[in-house]
Amino acid sequence: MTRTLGLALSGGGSRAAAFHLGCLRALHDRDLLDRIRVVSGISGGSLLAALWAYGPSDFADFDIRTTDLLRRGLQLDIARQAFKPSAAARNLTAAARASTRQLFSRHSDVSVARPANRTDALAAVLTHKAFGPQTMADVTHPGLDVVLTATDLATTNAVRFGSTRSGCSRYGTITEPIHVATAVAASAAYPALLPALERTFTFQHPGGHNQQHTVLLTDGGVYDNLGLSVLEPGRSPHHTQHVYDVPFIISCDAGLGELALKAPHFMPGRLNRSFATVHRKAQDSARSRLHEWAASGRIDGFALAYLGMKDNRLPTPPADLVPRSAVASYPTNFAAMTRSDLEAITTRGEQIMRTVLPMYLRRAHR
Amino acid sequence: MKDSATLELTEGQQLALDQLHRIVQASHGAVAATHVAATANRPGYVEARISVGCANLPRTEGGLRLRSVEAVTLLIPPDFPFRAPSVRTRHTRFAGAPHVNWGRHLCLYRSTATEWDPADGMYGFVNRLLDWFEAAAAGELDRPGDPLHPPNALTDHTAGLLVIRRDAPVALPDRSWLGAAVLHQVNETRCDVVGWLAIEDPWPASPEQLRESAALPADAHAFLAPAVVTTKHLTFEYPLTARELVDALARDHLTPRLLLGLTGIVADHNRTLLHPGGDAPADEEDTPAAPVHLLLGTPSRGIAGDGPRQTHLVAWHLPDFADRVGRLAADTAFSGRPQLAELGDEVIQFGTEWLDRLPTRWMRIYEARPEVTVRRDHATPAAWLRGKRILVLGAGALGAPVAEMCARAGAAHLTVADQALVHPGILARQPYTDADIGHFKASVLVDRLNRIDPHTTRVEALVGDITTRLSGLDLHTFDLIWDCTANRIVRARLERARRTDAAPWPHLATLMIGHHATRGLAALSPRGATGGGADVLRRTALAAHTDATHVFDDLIEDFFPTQPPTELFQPEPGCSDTTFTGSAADVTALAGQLVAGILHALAAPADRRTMATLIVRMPVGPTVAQPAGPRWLTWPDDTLVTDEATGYDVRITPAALAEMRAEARRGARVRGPRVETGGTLLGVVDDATGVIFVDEATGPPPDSLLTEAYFRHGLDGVSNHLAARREATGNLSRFLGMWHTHPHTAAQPSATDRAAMTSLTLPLDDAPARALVLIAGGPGPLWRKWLATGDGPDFYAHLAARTAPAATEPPAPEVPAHLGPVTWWPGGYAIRPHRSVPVPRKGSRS
Repeated sequence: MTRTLGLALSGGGSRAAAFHLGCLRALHDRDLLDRIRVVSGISGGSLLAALWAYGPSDFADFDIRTTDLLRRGLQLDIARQAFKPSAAARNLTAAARASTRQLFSRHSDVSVARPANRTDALAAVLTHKAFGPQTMADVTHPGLDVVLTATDLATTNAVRFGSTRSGCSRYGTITEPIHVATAVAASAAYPALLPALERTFTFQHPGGHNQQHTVLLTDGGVYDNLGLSVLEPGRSPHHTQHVYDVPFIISCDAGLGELALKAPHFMPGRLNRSFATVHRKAQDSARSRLHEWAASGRIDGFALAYLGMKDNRLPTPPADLVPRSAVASYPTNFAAMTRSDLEAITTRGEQIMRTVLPMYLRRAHR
Repeated sequence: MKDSATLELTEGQQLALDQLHRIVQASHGAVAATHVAATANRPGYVEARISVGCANLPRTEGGLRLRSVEAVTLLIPPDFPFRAPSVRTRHTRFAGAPHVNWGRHLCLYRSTATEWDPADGMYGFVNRLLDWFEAAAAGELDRPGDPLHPPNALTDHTAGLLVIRRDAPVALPDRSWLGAAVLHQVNETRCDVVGWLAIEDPWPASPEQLRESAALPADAHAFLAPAVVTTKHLTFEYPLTARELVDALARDHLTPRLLLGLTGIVADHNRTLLHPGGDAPADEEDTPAAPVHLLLGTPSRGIAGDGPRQTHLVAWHLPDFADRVGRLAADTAFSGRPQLAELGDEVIQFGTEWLDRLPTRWMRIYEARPEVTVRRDHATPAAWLRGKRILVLGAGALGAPVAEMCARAGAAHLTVADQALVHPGILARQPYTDADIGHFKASVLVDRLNRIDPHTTRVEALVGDITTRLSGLDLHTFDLIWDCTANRIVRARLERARRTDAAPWPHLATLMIGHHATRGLAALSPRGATGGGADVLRRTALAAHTDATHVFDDLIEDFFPTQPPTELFQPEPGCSDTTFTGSAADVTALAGQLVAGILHALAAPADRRTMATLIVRMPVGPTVAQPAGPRWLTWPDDTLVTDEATGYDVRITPAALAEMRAEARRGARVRGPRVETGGTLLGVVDDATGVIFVDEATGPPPDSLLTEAYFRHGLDGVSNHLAARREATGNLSRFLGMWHTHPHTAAQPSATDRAAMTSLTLPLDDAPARALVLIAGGPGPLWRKWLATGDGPDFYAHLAARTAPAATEPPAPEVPAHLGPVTWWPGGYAIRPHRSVPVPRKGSRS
């Protein structure tokens, strides 16, 4: 089977992970999973991408495990993990060291005050519950590559953790093996919910020399919440470490579209809403880029499954379509999901993907 | 520079001399002009003598030996710079070198039409001249890798014309080739060389055998001509006197004795062939049976530097007396009778002296030998047509140019079928003439096309109604059929005939143009493809209608309108058939593009050819938005099933099959491996062609009922879905029937299925009286293989006529009582059964 598809899984917490699970069910039923060359994930999409790419090879087993993980959620465990004595002790030592070494920099607003924070806790939970000691190279499906994207708050560059290599354009390639749990936690550290993850890696500069750099990793969706930029056709290998010229792109977009009208009065609310706005804008422009690539012939085609799609925009909706309104209010955190929420979101994902695929594939097959 | 003041110079010549003057001034002595005068033997020309310093040129051993200053004469034409000057030497030291003609003329340009730039004037010319000297000194006038400069013979137009069609023989390394060329007398002045006979081979004994050996028609006039091919290259320039030629040939052991003997043997043989039984009148003893053309070949063609040389040919037209002298020589010196030897020697002596006084008359030679010529269309898609057998249906606006393109491309055989007569109106755009009016198009066209290349292409007319005449043809002998009839009936007939034929048909290309000849379509149905022309056009219509980007909207209006067009063009209002408006430019351009596109597609490897449609649009004016360029649509083959009831083809598109498989895989994942599933089929039944098109399939509606032994199709959302698809496909794809699965069991209808067939249709407003029952099934391994790899399951198809009235109320969502207590599932995207099952299956979520 030739792998010619690129799969992009957007950010959006458990809502995204559940939506993508539904999309993957439809892709499995259409027998397209074996044709995926590269899966790109952002935040909640990274979680689902990693659960699939590093999970059981049998789809049903993956489905059961993922359902189970989403039902139980990660949030409570994160809280517990963050207040474990060992974590608290690390925080105290780090604070002490930071003050002596002037790590509270006056010239930048970058703070590295809490190395062992709730995002570290998320990494620990993911290690414990899903990925164990697996590193990025340990992909289950032969021929599949994985790219999980985070953002380095210090340099504002994208940091990409990949099954073939990891790194960022400014510092070069990371020489150490990266734990899948770390990559997923970093990619999922949605700024409004989780603090940045601090890690120090040895980077091999394009020039050849090795150097250590500390990065402050946060949600990869700040710029590209759909995870499409890795799949952009015709990327130059000189400017990026990830070039996958896939002629057909399947984009799973767990965005909700227009935001419900509400006026946030308090600071956390405003912060949250401003992040949501950034993500929505980034998502809109990414979708239009897909259309441009296809119209200009740079890719053969694409399929876009969009959670927030208006129900009446589907050309031939299934009779039992889970309406947008049934999933619209689900938040983008990693809390335990109720069975009905999970089923509603996954079923909508499956339905939208199954409905749009024939439409998009028909054009690409001609 | 002198004398120029006394000359009458044209404006152009003045310009040339001014430019030359400036070149001399700027050259610091490398170029000097010495003398300007009128050219003696060429009125209006002015010649300028210049000298070129060659002392510093790098030389090699094989190079031309140049003096330190070389003087040449430039001949400046009166219409300079719109005609290139030429250059010659006053000596003949360069004679024999490549790119030196007639001993004095230096050949600077292969083609002045492309290489001479009037704007460069003398600057460009002198540059070329300096390059020539440089190359000559370095011995690179024929550069390695370049084609060799062939020898020149100053031809005499009254000597006749030879077209060389057959590859020429070559001499052995140590022995010249002697024999005869088979000449086909085409008209008074022209003969074609259509074969070669070595002296040691048996020669045809009768005119019939001769024609047969050269594949000539029965009425062709053919004869033999003496021919020799030397072992060595003789000269770059053939002499104008026979003496020089005879001397040159003698160096290759081709003595006058041999030449006279060969001429005589050939003349004798011609006499035997053309006047069998010695019926030549006695008083015509001196008149040759055929003209005497002596063909002379030398190994002078090829690529400079390496490789075997091919034969370069010239032909000397000898006086009739050569026939007489030659036969005398043959009958004496070559008679084998010793008593005639002395007489023979005298004849040879006399003949040699006669030759010695003759001038040579070189015939014009046009090369058409495959070995030394390259077809102008060799690297184009049209090369596919060479040697093929082609059938063109229709000899109108599309068919006539298409047939001509095939004939020009060198198809071996062409059949043109049409029943129409030429009438005055069509002359505006079809390639017929006033004289053709009232005659059958096919006959007139075929007469004309047969004249294009009678040696290669044979064209036949088939006059009459195409659909009836086709039955008399063995279509399998063709390589390609062009359907240029734009006729629905022909298309439907072809589709049916193609479907019911046990042997695969040749490639079929169906061509159409729009109502204003602004757009064209070519539908290709390659050999072995599941669909013919009507099928591929139907797919094109579906693709155009369902394209979300609306790039084919113009096509829908032009070719696949949902409403019949209201404005139809009638050239003779009230009387004539309707047709399209369009000019000769429009139809020829569209035909050319469509043919080129189809040939491109056919040039692809066989395993990559698919059903395909090319869409082309004509350009518009420079200030108007241009229509989109050519566009291809392609389709993989359908899955074929034969309907049990009618014997019709059931053609299941890959899209419909993929949807059925996805639903079956979903069922296996969610409901377990043995629960049946199914859904609606969309498409159409075409009774004329006997094809049931299955375009799309959907999954089970949510109110369906799914068990391991039974599937009942629900109704929820079906009407809406059908309405949406009808709208989207321009009414091409409608309710067709229902499919369901028999996982792990045979694809045969169960008793329940058979019982249900009489009422098999849905309570829809537009429920048709017939519905297709399609069952996908197969034993365990086969079924699992389908789900895992996509290798097709078994299918059962039955076009069932509804006899029972359509139910108006949906059935209750319950399992029929006779099935007893079983687990049953709803359709749609449900993920658990209606009643909770005691043990959840793997994959189902609770």
